[in-house]
Amino acid sequence: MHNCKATRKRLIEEALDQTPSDQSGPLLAELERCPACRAEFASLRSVLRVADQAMESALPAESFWSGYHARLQQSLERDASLASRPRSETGALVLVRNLFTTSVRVPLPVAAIVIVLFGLSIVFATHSRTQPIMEPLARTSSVVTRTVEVPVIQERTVTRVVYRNINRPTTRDPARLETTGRSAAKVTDRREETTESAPISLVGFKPTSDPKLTIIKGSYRDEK
Amino acid sequence: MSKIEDELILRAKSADTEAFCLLAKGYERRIYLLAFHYCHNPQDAEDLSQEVWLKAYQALGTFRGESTFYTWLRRITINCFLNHQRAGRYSWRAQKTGVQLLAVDSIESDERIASSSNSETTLHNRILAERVMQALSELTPPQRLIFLLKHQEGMTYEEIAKAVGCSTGTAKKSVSRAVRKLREHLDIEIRTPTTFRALQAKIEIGV
Repeated sequence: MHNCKATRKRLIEEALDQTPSDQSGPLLAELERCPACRAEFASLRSVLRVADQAMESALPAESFWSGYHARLQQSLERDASLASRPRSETGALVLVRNLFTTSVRVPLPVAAIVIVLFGLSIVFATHSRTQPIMEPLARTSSVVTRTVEVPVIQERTVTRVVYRNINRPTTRDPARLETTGRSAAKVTDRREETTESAPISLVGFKPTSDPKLTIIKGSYRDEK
Repeated sequence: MSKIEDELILRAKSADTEAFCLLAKGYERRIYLLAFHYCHNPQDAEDLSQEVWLKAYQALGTFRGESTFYTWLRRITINCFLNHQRAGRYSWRAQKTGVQLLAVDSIESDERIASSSNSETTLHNRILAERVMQALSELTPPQRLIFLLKHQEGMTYEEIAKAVGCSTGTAKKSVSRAVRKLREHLDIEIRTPTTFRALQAKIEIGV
């Protein structure tokens, strides 16, 4: 079934003589069947032929080219650096430049695998470098300073002030001395008893005023 | 690539400017025409084409002969055109084409034009050329370049897309647009030839 719209899309290619030979035959057969498409094709061919003719005619006169050459030669010679560049770039320099500028096309998956392998090799290299350093350190005895918190036992010093009866009988009053001696003997006896049983006892002592108990908190460090 | 061309390239690589000029002689008209249709001004076309040759001379050391010399040169030409377009160095002046086309009379190399001593034919050609220039000047520089590469250089859409840096679809659209513009300006009637043979006959005689 002939489709004018589809055929006309291919006409420019055919008019430019650039349709592949295997497609050209069917297209020409379609043109033979459709007068409208044939007219379109004839028009396109005429347009391109006239354009081609007109464009060719735009070439300047032959006399123009001698001047053109002279100007080209001048500009080549004027720029000495430009003229010397090809000489310097021949031989080894070109090879070196090509060595650095030549690129190789690699498929994307291959490139990705190469990059991953490269990354893994770097990781393994760094790991293998750190392990031999750590092992000798572990084997040799080394002094390691660590700060460890140790609980300090706080000492508590309790000072008790004990008042004793100091009114002892004097030698001038024998009766009193006797009574006091007796009482003192009693006291000493008691003291001996108490010292034997308990080192310090407040039994039997009457303080003159209120007893004073001073508790000093601190440790041996506070002592001078 | 011919042996003579190979030899000239080798000589030019070793800074032989005369050898390079001889090498340029083979392609200068092609490059100049491309530049002229691209920038629509004879002076700019000369500057542009001279620049192409200078750049080719500078880069000749990098030519390894993997493609033909002209293919390599065309790549330089396209890059040069695109650089100028990006820099906006040239303005496309279609009105000057009339002045340039006065030189058409003295073309000796083109057999078709030289043989047409008839002034009427010459005038007709001049008018047609002016119309073509007018049509091309209505295109954007990349569209014009794409059309020239397709029409004059016979490059495929894929090659054009790669060289110009656009998609194949853009290249096709540019050519289609250029042909439409040319048809508008040349005012060619769409007449239905009676048969396909008649159409082919018309094409052959250049009607």
